[in-house]
Amino acid sequence: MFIIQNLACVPILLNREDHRTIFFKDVLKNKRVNKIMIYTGSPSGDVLSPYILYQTVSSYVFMDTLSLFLSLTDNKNKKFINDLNLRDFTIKTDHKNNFVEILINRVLDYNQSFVNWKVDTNGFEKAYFPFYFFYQKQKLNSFSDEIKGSVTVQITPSAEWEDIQLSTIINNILKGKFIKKIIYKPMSLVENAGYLDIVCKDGKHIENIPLDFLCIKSPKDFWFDLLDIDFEKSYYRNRRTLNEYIYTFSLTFIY
Amino acid sequence: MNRLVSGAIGVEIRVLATDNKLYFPDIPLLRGKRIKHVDACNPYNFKTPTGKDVIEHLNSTFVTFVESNTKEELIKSLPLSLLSSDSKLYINKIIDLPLSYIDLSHLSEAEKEDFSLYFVFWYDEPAVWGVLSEKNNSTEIHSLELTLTGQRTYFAKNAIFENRRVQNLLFSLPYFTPTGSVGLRESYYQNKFLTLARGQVEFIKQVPLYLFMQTDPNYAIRLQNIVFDLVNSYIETTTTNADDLKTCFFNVILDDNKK
Repeated sequence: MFIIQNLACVPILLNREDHRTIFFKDVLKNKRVNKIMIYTGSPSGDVLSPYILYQTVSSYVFMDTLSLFLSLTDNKNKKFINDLNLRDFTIKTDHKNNFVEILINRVLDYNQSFVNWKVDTNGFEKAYFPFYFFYQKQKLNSFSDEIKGSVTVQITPSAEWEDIQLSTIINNILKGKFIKKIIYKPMSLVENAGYLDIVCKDGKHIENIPLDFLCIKSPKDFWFDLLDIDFEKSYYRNRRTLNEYIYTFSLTFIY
Repeated sequence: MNRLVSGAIGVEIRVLATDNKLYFPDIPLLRGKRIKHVDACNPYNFKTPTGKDVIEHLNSTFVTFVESNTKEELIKSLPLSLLSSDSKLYINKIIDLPLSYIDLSHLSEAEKEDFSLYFVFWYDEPAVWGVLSEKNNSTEIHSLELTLTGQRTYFAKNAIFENRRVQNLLFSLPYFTPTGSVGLRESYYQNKFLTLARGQVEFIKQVPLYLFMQTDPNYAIRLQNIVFDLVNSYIETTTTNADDLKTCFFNVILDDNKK
């Protein structure tokens, strides 16, 4: 179980010749980063970026052939992660439950933190992966996994690239409720592809969390630090490449 | 949740077609030691250190562990399939191994002929364990590489790991390592075994490398701040073809909490 307070989505475009990139994200400056994960798509390329039209999220197959290493330095100038192989820190569209967990728990120096990669000449030209930084701005609320109640809604997207305001599908029933978990369930055999962008009234932000992060069934699953969601400012972003594969799915909000 | 351990030892048991009940050997290192978990190894393509295949039907093979003080069969006729890395049972007992046994009577002779069983006992080893700080929320992670050169290859001295408290070793398969070496590929890690030593104590001995890959949903190793000497530690491989002699890659998680 991991409790998310804030989540920043940091898309990284890897060009084969570059061999190294650093992270740019103002919101992460001086914040304690708890954990970093990567999201990868399937070989059929059916998941799109939350931000860039027609940009597909690269397949985990790239992760198998790409040797991608993370190095992190903290704000006390200590290089505390040196060449961590990122292959196993990936949440895939399939095999969602198979990943390694590590905790970071440090404020990072982003000028000295980077990913580098090695690839042979037959490898890819470019690859696109959203990196997810789980970070903390304040002390976590006291937590209990006891469920006080839940509300389930169904969402039927109508286009491959569509942003749906959550207030249009969730009425006032969750007003004043502090959400501790959100569970995604497909309602057909076909998996949906999209992201939830959740803005809270107290400033917490869960930025474009993939649906695939919300259906992990293992002790490594994700919970939230009691979110008071502003449904007017929060969106479901449908990002599937092919219209004919758009099906209804459910989201269960647990408080 | 997996429990803290500070030692692990692999034990191979050879099986003959006519064997119906086999007792465990006496393992001096495990005498009087508290066993936390046991793995019965049989992933796809797995070979034991002697190059044998392992019995496939772990659902029909049963183990009985006798508790050391009471001599009672406290774990009786447990299917070996329940001793896998994704369903780790918390044993937490001192086991009298020579009184403990495996029931093979449900297998045909063909299912036993010239096979082995391979167990890994995860245990508490006071000779190498360390104290965990109360918060235990600060770690460092460094890479460790070893290019195999033969049946047994020792690690080189590396100042980063000297006298450091280790909480985990993550084995993975990058195509290229950070130093540019070609990494071991998918099909070649199932017959390789890690031994870690402190002085003369080989407290992690012949543990299959695959057990250090920890992507399984319910599986993570938790080492109790163990300290080891790299120069006395090594990896063994049962075959030494060109594809076997590649670079093994680990990320080592070190304790970085104040004492």
